[in-house]
Amino acid sequence: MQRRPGFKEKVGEMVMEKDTKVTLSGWELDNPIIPASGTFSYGYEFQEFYDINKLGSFSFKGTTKYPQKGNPLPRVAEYDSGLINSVGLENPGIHKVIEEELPKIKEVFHKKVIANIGGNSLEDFIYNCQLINTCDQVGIIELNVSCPNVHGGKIPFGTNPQLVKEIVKEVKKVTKKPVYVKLSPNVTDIVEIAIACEEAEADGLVLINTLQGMRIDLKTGKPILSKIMGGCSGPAIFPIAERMVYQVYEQVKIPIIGVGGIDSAEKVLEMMYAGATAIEIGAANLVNPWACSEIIDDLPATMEKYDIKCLRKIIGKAHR
Amino acid sequence: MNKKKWGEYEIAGNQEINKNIYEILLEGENVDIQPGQFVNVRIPNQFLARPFSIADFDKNQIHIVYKVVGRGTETLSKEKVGNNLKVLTGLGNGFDLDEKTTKPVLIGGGTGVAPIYYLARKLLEKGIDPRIILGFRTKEESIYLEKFRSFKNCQIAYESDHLLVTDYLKENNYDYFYACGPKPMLKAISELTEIDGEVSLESRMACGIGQCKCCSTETTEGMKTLCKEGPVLKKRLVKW
Repeated sequence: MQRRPGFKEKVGEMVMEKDTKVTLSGWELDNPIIPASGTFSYGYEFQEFYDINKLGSFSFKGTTKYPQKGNPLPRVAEYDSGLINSVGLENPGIHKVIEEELPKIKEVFHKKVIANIGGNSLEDFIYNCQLINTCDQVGIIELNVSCPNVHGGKIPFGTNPQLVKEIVKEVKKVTKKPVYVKLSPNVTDIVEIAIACEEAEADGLVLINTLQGMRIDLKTGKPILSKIMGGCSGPAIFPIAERMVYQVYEQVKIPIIGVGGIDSAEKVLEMMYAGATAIEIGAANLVNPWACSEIIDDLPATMEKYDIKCLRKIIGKAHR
Repeated sequence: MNKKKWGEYEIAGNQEINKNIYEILLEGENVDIQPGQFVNVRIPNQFLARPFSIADFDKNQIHIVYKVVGRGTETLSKEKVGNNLKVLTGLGNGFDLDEKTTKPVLIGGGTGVAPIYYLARKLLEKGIDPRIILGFRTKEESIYLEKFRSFKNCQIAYESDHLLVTDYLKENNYDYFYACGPKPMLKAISELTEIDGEVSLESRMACGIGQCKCCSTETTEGMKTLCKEGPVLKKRLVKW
């Protein structure tokens, strides 16, 4: 049998056989570890740290129809157990991503990627997904519905079940690729939004996006971030993410990618018990560029510690 | 380009060299750091690593001068000699030592004089004795003057004496400038002098490797991350 990293590990004399494979909408990943959008750029830049082909996949930087410059500095503030960002979806736009970034990714990454797609209007989402539909390198479309809806009075699409439903329905018409929706936790009832996505025939869900927060600089008495508020990520949000994955898993049948404060193989297992089929890693990449690589390396031994032979089999097992 | 890598570094010194300003000496494995580059230091109980420019460097010894400005630097100032810190080295675009300059002027302001020292030393190794202008608010706030004494062409401007670095810059006998210090100073230099040069900019950062775009700023050639394409940018790129 061919040896794969993160698949088999020698412990003393005994060779552990660990099955870390998971499947998202018919796409088999070697392991569930996926760097989250916005923390991994276009991936190839991480090749100088480790061979990124060991990843399950990765979700590239949130991409909009037109290039976006993002927000003025400062865009980042810190708190005890994480960071708050207001980068503002700085990206070169969908055309440049397809023409320049995807070929660069292809040179070093031999698996499919997840395309994180944003939009300020329904038309933007349709336009972007039509284009991405033609890219063989893309395995899943991840809709970022946390962007403000320009036409709808700057209310994020993701906070309104009807709006989310409409986007998913329309996007599904223009692409054959699996469509996953990345949900915002900044809502009263995330389950309601998740159900709306499933009703619109979304293929899966990604939860959670960052939680809104802010910090004030005591020297000036003013907010640190130029845009006042930003999105909290990091270990502090892990219990919230896990709770939301658990709640949503009870109510929907489509697969869930769990994300929020995961920084160790233990937390990967926890999130999978709660109901996640795969895992995205965000803030941890900003603290340690090798974070995902180390988590993948730690997976087999951590599975051994908790007597898990096959990762798929623990998905949702925390539910009674 | 030098490789980015984590290393365990032992604190060989960490003392207050002026009010609220410290110099820490870290010893670890041999790496390569160019003047103007920075390192990310993991400080206990802080989520993000802190970026620090290099005041001096020799094979496995890293000198950092830092001002206590917040919780991270306050914690760092209390770290004891003998403790270990995790440091990510090889970060950022430093000063361009390949610039064809025979008469460069180096300008440092406040704690920004520290990276200028390492640059000056490197230029001297190349056989270029640079002209140096240092600026401080008051005599009491000055640092590193002993170290700069080995350079024969060094002037100091104290704001309390109604002198600014730009006052010394008016004598025009140099062909390139390198500057590090407060943004208003960098702006004043760039606007005053017609010669080409480069400036080291500061920003809150997160990843330190150009991925998260938390320190991305608009330049004349589009958006650039200060942690990867900076912190040193050519004068013509900076939009003040």
